[in-house]
Amino acid sequence: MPDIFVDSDLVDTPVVKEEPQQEDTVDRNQSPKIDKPQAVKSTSKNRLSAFQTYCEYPSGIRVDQLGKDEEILLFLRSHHITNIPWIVTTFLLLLVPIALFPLLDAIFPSFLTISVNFKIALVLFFYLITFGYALISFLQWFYNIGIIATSNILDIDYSQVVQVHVSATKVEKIEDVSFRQSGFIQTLFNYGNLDIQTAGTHPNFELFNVPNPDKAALMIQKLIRGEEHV
Amino acid sequence: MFEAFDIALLIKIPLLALFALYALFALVVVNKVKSLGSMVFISSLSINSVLTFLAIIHLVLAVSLFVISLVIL
Repeated sequence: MPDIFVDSDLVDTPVVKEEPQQEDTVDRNQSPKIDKPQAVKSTSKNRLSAFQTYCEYPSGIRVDQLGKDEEILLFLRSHHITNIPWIVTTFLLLLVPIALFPLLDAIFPSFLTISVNFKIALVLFFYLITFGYALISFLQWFYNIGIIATSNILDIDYSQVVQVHVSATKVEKIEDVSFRQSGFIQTLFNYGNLDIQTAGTHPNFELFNVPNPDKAALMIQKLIRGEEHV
Repeated sequence: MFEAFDIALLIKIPLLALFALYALFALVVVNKVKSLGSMVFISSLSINSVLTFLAIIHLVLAVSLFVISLVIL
C-alpha cells in the first residue's frame, strides 16, 4: 500500500511489493525468538589416540559427566615423562629375585634349608605384585584426565587404587587460570601445572604435569572471554 | 618332627591368607577398571577392553597362585 506521505518526486516510482517474511507465518502466540549468537564454524576434530597427553578438539572420546550436546575442546593428561619413575621401578623389581636369592643364600645359610616350593611361591607372588604395581601405576596415569568442554571443566583423579575423584565446574564459575612451569626437566619437555581458580566456595582445579600448559591456559582464557566456540 | 610340621603350618597358613587377600584386591582392581572404562570411553585401539583384559589376567594369576600354593605348600 503506497505511503500517502511519500515525496512528490517519488510518486511515479513503482511500489515494490514486499514478500511476506517467513516470521509472519509463525504463531504469534509464541514468545518472540531471541537470536542466538551464531557459532563459529566447527573446528576440525583430531582423532584422540589412546596414549595421547594433549589434544585439541578431540574426537573418539566419550565422558559420562558431560552433556550430550557438549563438545570437548581440550583433553589433558600428565606428560609421558612422568611415567619413567614407575617404569624404572618395575624393571628393577623384576631383577630383584634374580639378584636377591643368591645373596640371601650366601649371607644366611639357613635360607638354603627352606623348601623349594616355598621359594617358588614367594617368587611367583613377588612377580605378581610387580605386575600389579605396573598395572596400577599405568591406570593412575591413564585415568588422571583433565577435560575442557564448552560449558564445563572436568578433572578426573584416580589414585590409591580404589579412589576416584571427579570434579566438575561450569566455565562461568572460573575466575582465573594460571600455569606454573619450574625446573629444567619441565622446561625441557614443556610441561607444567595448570591452576584454575573458581568463584566462591567451589574448589579450585589443579592439573599436574600437563603438556603445553601455556596453550591450555590460553584456551581456557579464551573460553572464559567467550572467544572459543565449537 | 611335630615341631617342624607346626612351623611349616605357621608359615603356610598366613601365606595362603596373604595370597587370598591379594586375589580379593585383584578383583577390586577389575571392578575399578570396568567402572573407569564406562566413565571415560576412548575408542582408539579399544584401549578400555585391553585394560580390562589385563586386569582380568592379573586376577586370574592371583587366583592361580592361591590354588597352586594350596597344592604345593
